[in-house]
Amino acid sequence: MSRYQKRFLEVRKRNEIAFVPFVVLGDPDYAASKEIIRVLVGSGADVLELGLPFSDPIADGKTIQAADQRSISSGMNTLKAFELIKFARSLDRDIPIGLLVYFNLVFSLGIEEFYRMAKAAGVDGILIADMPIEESGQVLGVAEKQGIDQIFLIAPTTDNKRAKAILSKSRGFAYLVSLTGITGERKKLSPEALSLVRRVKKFSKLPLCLGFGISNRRPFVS
Amino acid sequence: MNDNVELIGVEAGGKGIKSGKHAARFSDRKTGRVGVLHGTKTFVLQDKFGQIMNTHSVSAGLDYSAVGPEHSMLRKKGRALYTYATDKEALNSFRLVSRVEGIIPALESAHAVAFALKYARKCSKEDVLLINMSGRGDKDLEYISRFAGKKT
Repeated sequence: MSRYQKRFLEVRKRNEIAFVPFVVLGDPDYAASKEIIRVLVGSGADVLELGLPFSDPIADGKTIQAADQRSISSGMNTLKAFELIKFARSLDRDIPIGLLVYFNLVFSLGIEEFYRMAKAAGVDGILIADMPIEESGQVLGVAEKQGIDQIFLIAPTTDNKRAKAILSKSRGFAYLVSLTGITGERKKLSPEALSLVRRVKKFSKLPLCLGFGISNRRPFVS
Repeated sequence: MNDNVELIGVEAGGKGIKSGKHAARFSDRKTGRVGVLHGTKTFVLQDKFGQIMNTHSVSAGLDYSAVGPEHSMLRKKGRALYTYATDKEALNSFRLVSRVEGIIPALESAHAVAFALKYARKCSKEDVLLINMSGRGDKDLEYISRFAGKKT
């Protein structure tokens, strides 16, 4: 059983929903990022979602763009990011670690090499934000070989037929985008979010995680 | 693809290749290589790890880190050659074509003119040179007027 499967089962048994915080690796710098990861792991995060900073993060809003810039300016790069993930893994053997990345960083290192290093660092899942399923053939085989779950996005604008096609290629969990737009703080949970969850839940065998614009716990405690 | 017309593409050399302030994806061997940006696999200006580099050009239309994928293909096949013209050369051509031909070229096209002027010296009188004036420079006048009266 993968770390994702195990953890989502545990969470379900507790009759809770999983807390999956996201931070950008190396933000604001290497040392502080290490400390942030330590705090997240020690404060009850069920799953970690760690982002590799990218110069052109097209799915991200101002907050993550600024985080990416701070991280890159402080000297972060792919190899150092894997070191940080290794550190996260050393803190907790069981916590599932997801890596959020843009395709050029994977392509630049080489797809095989990237997945090999990710696995060695302790990564469980990889989400390539700018890779639609049509282009995923080049990574799916490599991911499977390394035992890494490939995660994809499903948006409110994704119809059921396409959502099913995406799910058939997804492993670990399905990442539901709560809104039509980019990441970043919102005052309220988007009204599209709940209907998306209800819709995809009907046919998904995978756990669903809701992301983008999730700013606090309020909408989820009721 | 198979005719014997020579094709030459002219990229934005900005303040020169060495300055790093340019958008010459094919001419900067240090940072220009195949990558994927905005869903397109083509030549991209990037660092060792694939972070996209900032670009500079006097012409907004060329001021982008990636090049159209057709150009990468034409270059790979050896069908087209690629070179660059600097901001200064483009601005001078902009003025020249406006004055001599009464055509205000787009700053993008002015790069092609700049190279054509140099290339023409190597040609014979029988050779025919076609310059693709891909756009009009009316849109660039406000920007250009900043340099009015100044030597560039």
